[in-house]
Amino acid sequence: MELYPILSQAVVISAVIASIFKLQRMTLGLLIILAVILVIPINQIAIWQYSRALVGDFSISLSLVAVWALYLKGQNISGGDKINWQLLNWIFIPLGLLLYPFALGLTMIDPYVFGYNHGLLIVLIGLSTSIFLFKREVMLAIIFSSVLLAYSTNLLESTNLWDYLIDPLLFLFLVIRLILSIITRMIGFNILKYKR
Amino acid sequence: MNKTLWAGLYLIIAIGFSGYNYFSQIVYESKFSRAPEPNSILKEGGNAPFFHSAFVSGNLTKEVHSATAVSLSNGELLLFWYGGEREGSADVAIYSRRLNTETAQWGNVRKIVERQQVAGSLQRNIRKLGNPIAYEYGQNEIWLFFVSVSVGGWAGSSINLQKSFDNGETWGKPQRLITSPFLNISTLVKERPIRYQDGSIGLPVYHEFLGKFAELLHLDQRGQVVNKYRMSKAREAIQPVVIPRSESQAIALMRNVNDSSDHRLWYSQSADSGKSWQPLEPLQVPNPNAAVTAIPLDNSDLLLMVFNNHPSERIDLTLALSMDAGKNWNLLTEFEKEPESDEHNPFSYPFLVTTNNEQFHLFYTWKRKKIKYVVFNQQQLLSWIKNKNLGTKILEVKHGTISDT
Repeated sequence: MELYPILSQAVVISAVIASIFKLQRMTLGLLIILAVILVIPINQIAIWQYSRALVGDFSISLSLVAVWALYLKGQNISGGDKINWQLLNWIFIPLGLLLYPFALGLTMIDPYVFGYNHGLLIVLIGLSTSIFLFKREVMLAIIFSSVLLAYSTNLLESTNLWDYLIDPLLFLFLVIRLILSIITRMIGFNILKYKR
Repeated sequence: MNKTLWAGLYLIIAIGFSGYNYFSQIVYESKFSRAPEPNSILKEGGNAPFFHSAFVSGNLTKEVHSATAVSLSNGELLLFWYGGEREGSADVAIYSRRLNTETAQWGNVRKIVERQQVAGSLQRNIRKLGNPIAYEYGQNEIWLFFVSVSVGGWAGSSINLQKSFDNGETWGKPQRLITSPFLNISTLVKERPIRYQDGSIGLPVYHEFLGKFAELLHLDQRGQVVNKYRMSKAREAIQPVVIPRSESQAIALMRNVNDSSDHRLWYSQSADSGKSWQPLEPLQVPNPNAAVTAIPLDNSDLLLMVFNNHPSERIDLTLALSMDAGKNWNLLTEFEKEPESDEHNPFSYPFLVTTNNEQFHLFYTWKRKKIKYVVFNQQQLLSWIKNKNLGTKILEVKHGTISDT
């Protein structure tokens, strides 16, 4: 049984649930319960294998953003340690816009090929990480360092660095979040911080 | 030590691992491998012309499709196809059958890949199986590529690789090829791989999600994707057939999926061992949005192709010869021909393979019910060539002894 897909699914789902229901305690308990549920088989196939068939393996970036979000919820941390969503938007939305339309055949150019142990993408990620460190963006520095480390140790079944860096779910999540925050600004009502 | 310093230390470790990984990887600057010069088709004499056809898929399943075969070093031919209640149904499995080409005896039909077995090995739900392609990678070592779908239709496909180290008697667990960043969906396979000098291989594949296009996957000796090269723009072509002509030159024939074009077969060339491809050119050959199969006859410009010679229906299967590396084609004979009013697309997915140019084996889907097998020998091919008065033209391509008389 592969550990990473189960843990990454558990942590992402936990982060979403904790965010929706404003959970500030029991996040670790939620994570453990979800991990157990995910390994329950239905028709000889575990639940995590059904969802894996649907959305693939999560990127390291998505998993670590979810871990960070869950950690912050659990610790009820605010202020400087909050997730810098604006910076995540600036990084991952352009990356997704660059990667997905072209990989799906928009032109003869395919940026996905730069992920096959191509020095350029590795150097760019290394340089970006150094800049994040210089700017004290510790969370992003850890995410990007982990992407490099996971890729060089073949943690995922992919041999392409892009799959460690970004996935469609992270891209879609950030796009939807950005759209909601723009609407919030336009109508003057904070959808993202709405409390029942 | 504060968080930033810890993160810096972590970065240094990550860069160290990445650097080691990067510099320890083999860089594939591959050139096409040239196959040993097969027997020339231009020699005369020998056996009498021979032609035979039969249904070879048995009666285990209601529907069958997508036959492929590999000619083994030991003289055997290994045939694969998929079959089930209908295309895409949950009971579809990949079947295999072995032909002793010396005795012309077929072995039993064997089910070799099942959906549940693939789901267990890949640890994910699998809804259906599809196109197989086999390749003899080394002595007794066969690689079987096949398509599987977890979600949706064929546009949700991904490619898997399963290996045998005893000439197809037993098979290992499948591994998944990761070929697309978008959930790794929509990559399919139809035609045989090509070999590079360094032992890596090029696998012609195609995408069917949103933009349909063709690509050449570059796989290392373990079968892992190390690169890929785009062969066509979106909504133009799929199911490429790649034929190397030298270390760096190759041609490709592709199925036309562009509804706004005049339904002709696509042609392209590469001059850098498949890394880049010229814009597609339509040939004079019609293509009813259907797969073709082609093989080189020797290391000159002689190619043999089987295709549907109709702009909109797969109602025939025709053999054609090219003497200029695929630019122009001469019709030799028709294996199938039905009136247009009959069943929709009765003959499809041809796959042609030769055993050292002595015998030519053609497999195709016959009305979705059977895999039909057609075999003919070199002398039969030469008689078709002579009947079309093409012998003299061949002399212009390659010095030989054939004549039109």
